[in-house]
Formats: sequence, structure tokens, C-alpha cells
Amino acid sequence: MADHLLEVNDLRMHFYTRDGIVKAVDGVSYTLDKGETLGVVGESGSGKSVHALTMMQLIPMPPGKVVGGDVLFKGRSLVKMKDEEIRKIRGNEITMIFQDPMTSLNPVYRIGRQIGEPLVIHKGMSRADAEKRAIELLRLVGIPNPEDRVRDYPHQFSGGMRQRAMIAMALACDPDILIADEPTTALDVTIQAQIIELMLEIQKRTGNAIIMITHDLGVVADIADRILVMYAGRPVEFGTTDEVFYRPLHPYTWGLMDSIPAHDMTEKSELCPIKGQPPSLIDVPAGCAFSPRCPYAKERCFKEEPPFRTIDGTHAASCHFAGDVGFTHAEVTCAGVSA
Amino acid sequence: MFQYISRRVLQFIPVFLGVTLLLFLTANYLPGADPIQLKMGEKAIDPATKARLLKNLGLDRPWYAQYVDYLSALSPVHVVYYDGTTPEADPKVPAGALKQTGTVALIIPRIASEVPPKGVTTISPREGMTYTRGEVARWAIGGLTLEFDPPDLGTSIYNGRKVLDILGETYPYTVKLALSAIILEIIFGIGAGIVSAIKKNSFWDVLVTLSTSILVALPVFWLGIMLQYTFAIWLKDATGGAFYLPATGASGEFADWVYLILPSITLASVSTAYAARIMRSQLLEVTGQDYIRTAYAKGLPARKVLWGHAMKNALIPVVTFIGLDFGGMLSGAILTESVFNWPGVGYTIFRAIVGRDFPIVYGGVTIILFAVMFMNLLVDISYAFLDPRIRFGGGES
Repeated sequence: MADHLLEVNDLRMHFYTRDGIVKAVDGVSYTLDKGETLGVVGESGSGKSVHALTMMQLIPMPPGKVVGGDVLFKGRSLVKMKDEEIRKIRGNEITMIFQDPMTSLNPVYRIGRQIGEPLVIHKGMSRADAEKRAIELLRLVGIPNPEDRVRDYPHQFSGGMRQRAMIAMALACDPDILIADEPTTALDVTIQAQIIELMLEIQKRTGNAIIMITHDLGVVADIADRILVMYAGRPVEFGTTDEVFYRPLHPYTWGLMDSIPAHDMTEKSELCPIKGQPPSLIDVPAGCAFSPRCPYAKERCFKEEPPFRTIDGTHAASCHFAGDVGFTHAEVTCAGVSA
Repeated sequence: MFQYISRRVLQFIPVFLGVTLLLFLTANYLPGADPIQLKMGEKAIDPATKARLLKNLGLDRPWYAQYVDYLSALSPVHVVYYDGTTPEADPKVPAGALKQTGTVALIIPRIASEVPPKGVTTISPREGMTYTRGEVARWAIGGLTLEFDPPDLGTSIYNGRKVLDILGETYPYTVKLALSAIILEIIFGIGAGIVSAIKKNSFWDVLVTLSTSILVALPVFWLGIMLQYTFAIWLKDATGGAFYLPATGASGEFADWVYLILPSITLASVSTAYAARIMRSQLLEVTGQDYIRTAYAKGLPARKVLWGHAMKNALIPVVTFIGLDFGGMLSGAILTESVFNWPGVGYTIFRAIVGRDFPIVYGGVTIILFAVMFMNLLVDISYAFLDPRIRFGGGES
């Protein structure tokens, strides 16, 4: 059991709101090993970010509540940890970077102080030593003139530089796991690639595991070892990147693949989105959550919730028909399009 | 930083001219009894006497000329051109004094006939009126002479005392009251706001929210009268009569600060309530920001996130409010000072307006103007220290 660096077992996080119970994370399971990169993919509201914040106990409780499951980090339960215990892990062994670098840094403190802060808390460094280390970290993440920039305030950094600073902050204590919550969503396309490359380069050097949370399949295709696809708070498909990309099992994954715009598209070809809207997490459809939007849905799908089951070695999916002979991704699912 | 401050000081000039010009304009059209009549009481005045008095006070001149007189007296520097002619002998001007021969222009150059000897020179711009010039220093530059004098705000119509002396006596009372009120506001306003935000929706939060709503709605004079009634009359024996005594503490029976308690509570009441509300809403807003989540994700304990990361951001608008409010208090609290018979500058100006004692009104407003502008400058400087985005002029991306 304790072989894996991180083991998520049937994690369930619900929010108790005035409008009802929001099942934000509802039975997520996966494992992560040292030095591995996991891509977590899903639409907005699929619970991909919330599951990460839940592991870090960064969800305000109430209204949030872990109603089931567990997350084991090096064999210790993260969700059951006391505040002072999880604090020693946060920013030290597991670190996070967030979507919007413009607002994720405190505007009134210098960059160097903010990057050095984890070292002061976790490694007992003096503030001056931490600031010296911050210069090295800034150099590591490719900020020019780090000796000068360390004394800058966040508003003097561009968006890309701020995200680099966030990465430097996350790397300060040499973490085992770096959770990147849509780290490139708020950045320019050219900067996106640089940030992703930087994270991989650092992973090569330090051997940390990465959980890359994104709605962009393109991002995870390049970098992830394994991919978890989420929908409506539930896991839909989990497997190696090759498995998920070349032999996807779940109709939702098929739909995601179809909705990626191809670079060789002409102006006549249409985009092929998944029809309909993601369900409300308060009122998740009975049976399979994806059934109302699934072009392959049969009667059983509307009644019976499919279990998340291993189909083939490392490849798991939650569809009644996954792995059935003849149940394959139709070439043309978009009406009126001839590919 | 230096550029920032000097720009702000320069901005003061148009504000000062605008406010004082407006003041002279409105005072000129203020209806009611004329100051001479008020000075003389019920007696009928001989028209010739009245004309002479008006002339001596400079009130016979049009309001814009009076305005220039005021600026001239206030200005510590004068550029004077002495034309070298011998002044005609004027029996009304004391011996050795110079008679002004030119007109007074806006930058206050004065033209006089000959360069006076070093030291104090008395000049008489008008019949019956003498000024000393060059009291502090006198420098000759080319054909012009720079004369330095202490600023003058004229004399009271009512009792002939120097306005600066009158304000010098009353202003310390206003400062004392403002300081004690602002201390109350800082302690209780910020304190209540923090408690209210941290313990959101608790009993304490409800208590703070409710009591601040009530305080904001209470008229200041009513609160002052009620406090007086409660502590000075109803609880006279319990408090040893401490609050029954005159506000100036003239009896000397109690320490000076005792007399400050009720007026400063009264003066601070409304702004303390506002400060608490601003503090609460700012802290709640800041704790929802992304960088607070970042701070938690670093492994900081809640206490350090609050005092280290949230507070400095949340305090910025509160500091601004309290600073500007202090500027307001320094301009004299007419209601509080009147209710407590507090001999501060607000009450003094109020009485001067009623008595049409214009030099005191002009002088009082001038002092207040300087105090408020100075406080605003301090607020802006402190703002720059709290918020680095201001410090660099906001030019960067």
C-alpha cells in the first residue's frame, strides 16, 4: 500500500450549501509515483481543482466536507491530518501553483520575501538567507538579473514572470509533489509553452512528481505519464497517456478528443463540441452522469451508475460498455461533417 | 518620493487660492448685521464715525481688494520696489515710517519710495493703519528688495486682538480633542472591525455590526448631551463630579485628560463606527483573495496569514479613512465643541461667523486649510509606504 507516493482512494468532497449538497468530488481514485507526471483533465466544474485543494486541506470547512475516501501521502492520511501536521507538508513536501499569477502573489511584499517564506517556515532559515536562496531560485526559473528582481514587487513582473516566481516559490523546499492548477490558463500561448517546459526541466533535475490540472488536452499530451479524465466530480477514465490518447475507452474522452481543433482544419470544417452542458453538481443525473450527453447511451446508462473499473491492466474507465468488443469511437460523430 | 511630495505641495496652491477666494466671496454676500454695528452694540452710530472705522478696518474697500490685503498680510515674503523718491511728509504716519505709493499686485510686490534702513520699518498703507515690514530679514536683489515677515492674519474686529494670538490659544484645544478622538477611533474602530471579521457571523460580529449602525445614525450633539446628562448629572455622585466641571479643567481638581473623555467619545463616535465597518469589509474581502490561498498553501499558520499577509492589504483603505478623518477633526468639531463648551477652533470660528468677525473667520479657515492639506499629504505618503504600487507612480504594468 505504501509503495505509492500518493494514493487517492475514493475521495469524496461535498459542499453543504443553501441550495443543496454540491458533490464537487465524488469518488476519485488514482495513484502517483515518485517523479511521475499525472495529468488531470476535465471541464470547468469537473472537480479537478477541488480534489487537489481537498488533499491540501485548503477547502474551507464548512461548507466543504470530506464525506468519504482517503488520500495517503507516503502512507499517511492527508485528509485526517491535524492542522499543524498538514502545515508541515503544505509548501514543503507538496506545493501548489495556481491559475492566475496576477492575483496569486501578495501585492505589498517583495518577490524575494514571498519566495523565501517557505524556507523560513519549513527549513528555519533566517529571512536574509532565504532571500539569498530566492535569488538562486529565480535564476533557476529563468528570471534575468535575479539579484535585482528579487527586490521587485509583483506589479513590476509580467504575467509569465509572476508564474515563474510562483514556480520558484513552489520549488523552494524541494517538494515531492508539485500540484499545478491550470498554471498556463491565464498566460499567452507563447508563454504557456515556456512555463510547461520549465516545469519539465525542473522535474528532470529534482525528480519531483507533478499533478498537472488542466482543461487543455494538448498540455497533458506532451508531458503527462498518466492521465485522469474527470466529469461531474467523478473519474471517467484513467490510464497511461498512450492508452488514453490512442485507445480511449469512455465516450466522454472520445468527445474531448473530437472537440480539439486540428491545425489542418479548413474554414469549411466545423468544430465538433460535446453537445449539451455539464450537469449541475447539486442534481447529478441518475445512472451515469454523462448519460444525457452521451450519443451511445442505452437504457441501462440512465438507471445504473457505472463503477470505475479496471479494464485492461493500468487502464480504467467508468462506462458500462467500456472494453466491450465493438464498442468503439465512431469515426464521424459530428453531424454534417465529413472528415 | 521627493518629486511626489513636491508635486503634492504645488497642488496645494490652487486649492488654497480656490478655498480662500470662495470664502471672501461668500463672506462679502453674507446677509445680516454689519460688523461695526455688532461691535458698537445697541448704540446708534454717527455715520462719520462708522465710515472712519470701516476705513481703518479696511472694510470700505471692495472684497477683492480685501482679499489681496489678506494675501499680502499672510505672505511671509514680499517683493518691494523702492523708487528712490522722497516720500511726502504725512503727519498721520509715525516718524521714520514709509508711505506706500504704489498699488498692491497679486504676487504682493509693494512699491515704496526709498530703500529703508536695515531693520524694522513701519509703513502705513492706509490712514490709521500701520504695518511693520522686513521684520525677519531684508535682502536687496538688483533693484528689488525681498522682505521677510511673519505671516499675519489681521486683528479681530470685536476686541482688536491679533487673530494669530486668538487661534494660538484655541487651536491646542482642538488638537488635544482630535488626538484623543483619533486614538479612540484607531483602537476601537480597527479592533472591533478585526474581531468582527475574524468571528464572522458570531455574537461579536452581530454586536459590532448592530452597534456601528446605531452609532452612525445617532446625531453627534444628541450623543454629547446624553453623555453629559448621564455622567455629569445622573451619575454625578458616582463619578465624583468629574464630568460636571468646565471642559477647560480650570478648577484643577482633576487631571486634564478627564475633561477630554466625554468630548472625545462624542467626536469619535461616528468615525469609529465607519472605521470598524471599513476594517471588517476590507479584511473579509482580502481573506478571499488568491494570494491568501497562496499563503496557506505555503504552510503558513492562520495567525501569520492574517497578521502578515491579509492585514497590510486590508489596512490601506482604513489608514486613508482615519487619516482624512483626523484632518477633519483638526478643522474643529463645531458640534462637539459647542455641546461641551470646548474652546477649540471650530467653536471660535462658529462664534466669529455669528458675530461677523471676518478676520477670525478668514484666519481660522486658513489655519484649518493648512492642517487639512498637511494631513492629506501625510495620508498619501503613508499610503505610498503601505502600497508599493503607489510608490512607483503607477507607471509600470
